[in-house]
Amino acid sequence: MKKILMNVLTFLLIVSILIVLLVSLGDENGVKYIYKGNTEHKVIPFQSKEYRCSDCSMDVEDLHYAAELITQEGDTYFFDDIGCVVLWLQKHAKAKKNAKIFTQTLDTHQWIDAKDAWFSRIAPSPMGYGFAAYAKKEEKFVNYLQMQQMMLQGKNLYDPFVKKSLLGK
Amino acid sequence: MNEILFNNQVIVYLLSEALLYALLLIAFVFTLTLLKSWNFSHFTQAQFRLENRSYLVMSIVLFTLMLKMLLLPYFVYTIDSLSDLVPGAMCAAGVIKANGYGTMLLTLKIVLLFLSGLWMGINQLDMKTTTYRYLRAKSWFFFFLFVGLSVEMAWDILYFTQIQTTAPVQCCSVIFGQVGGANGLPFGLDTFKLMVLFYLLFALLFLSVLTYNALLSVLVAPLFLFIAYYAVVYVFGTYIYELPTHKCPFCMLQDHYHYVGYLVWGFLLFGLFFVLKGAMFSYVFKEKSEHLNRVALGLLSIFVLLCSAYVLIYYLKNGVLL
Repeated sequence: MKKILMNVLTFLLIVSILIVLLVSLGDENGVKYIYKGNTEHKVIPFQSKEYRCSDCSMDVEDLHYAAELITQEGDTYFFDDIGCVVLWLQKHAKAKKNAKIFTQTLDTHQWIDAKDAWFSRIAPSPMGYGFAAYAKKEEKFVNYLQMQQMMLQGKNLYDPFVKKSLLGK
Repeated sequence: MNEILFNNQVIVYLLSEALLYALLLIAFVFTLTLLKSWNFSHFTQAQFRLENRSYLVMSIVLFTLMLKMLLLPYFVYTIDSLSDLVPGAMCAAGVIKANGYGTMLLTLKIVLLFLSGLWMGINQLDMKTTTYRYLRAKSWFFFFLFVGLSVEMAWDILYFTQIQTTAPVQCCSVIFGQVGGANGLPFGLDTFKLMVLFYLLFALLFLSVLTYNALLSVLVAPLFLFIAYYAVVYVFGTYIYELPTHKCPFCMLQDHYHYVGYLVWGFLLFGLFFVLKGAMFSYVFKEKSEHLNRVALGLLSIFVLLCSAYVLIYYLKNGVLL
């Protein structure tokens, strides 16, 4: 009786281990940070909190400010703030080569190429840098390169002087 | 000359290794004679001399391998102490990656530790017999073990002579952190599933040892070692350091963490070693050893309890998990 019980228990444990492994392996494409195999280099639709930002590790919760970076190999990284994309690229220069960056826009609510977008400097973006993408240009908006430069120089709402000059407080 | 070679710990370590290797070399030469001329059915003077000599040779091997086992934690301590000399290294993680030999050397040392233990097991069985039943088996085992030990000696020298004190290395947060946001865990596991798998594998290993299922023990032990490594680095380690971003297998060996890493890794490695030794006794030599199994289960249980205690204590103190 004891032997049968031990055998049943062993069998159940092996099955449980296999289930955990299979569930994990089946899940591998979307583990928290990266979507792999996006060889068509298209935007990957995703739900709020489904992925974490590859730079700051926070949940990508507010999809209005979300961005995606797709490497040449088809690895798709998710970001909660366009500022995070700039900071991440600074640390991962190799990924920059032929990478595509898409961002959500606050006016048309669509994914567009970040290099075609215009950026407000005073938006309440998730990380508080202030940059948010728009499809249409408005006064005081900056283009991608300018936004990138400002982020790298720290000229965003984190800087009290910039904040005062832009928001008056 | 390389500055690393003037470090006290490195000098002590390399000299000890060289001395032990010299002893093993002598034993190896005599083992070749044993393998060539041994015939227990002969009642000749030469055979009697070989029998006497075999006891001496095997005693030398046993003594040397035991000392080499003690040298493994000292090796880890040595490379940890080198983190003060190698720029960028905060602990042994950076030093071990200082050149291409480090990781291979550490892996080889762990494999040889297991094999040495198994050799000791066969030797123990052989000593119990009056007919030198396993002498040929253990001599051949030592023959191959010596090849591994020679590679280890060569890598020891190459590793320490090629550590640069001018080239910066990466610190553990870069090596074990989430590079490019990638998930560092294997099989696409997340932390929760890793923990579930860790405890399930422990339960299965426990059960297989308890029921003398040698084949299952041999299959589960390496998988448990693999998963336990990730569990300690990516989960339990963060509770030892009390910092969710600090993921390193080596920092816990330092005095800031009361050298608990030596206990964590020691209980795990020696526990698994006794599992494999017990399985070998049971499967190959058909000798079930309750004592070995008890030691194995005891060591592994202490390992799991020690790791789990860190999580529990952190939760009781702070009311949250990392």
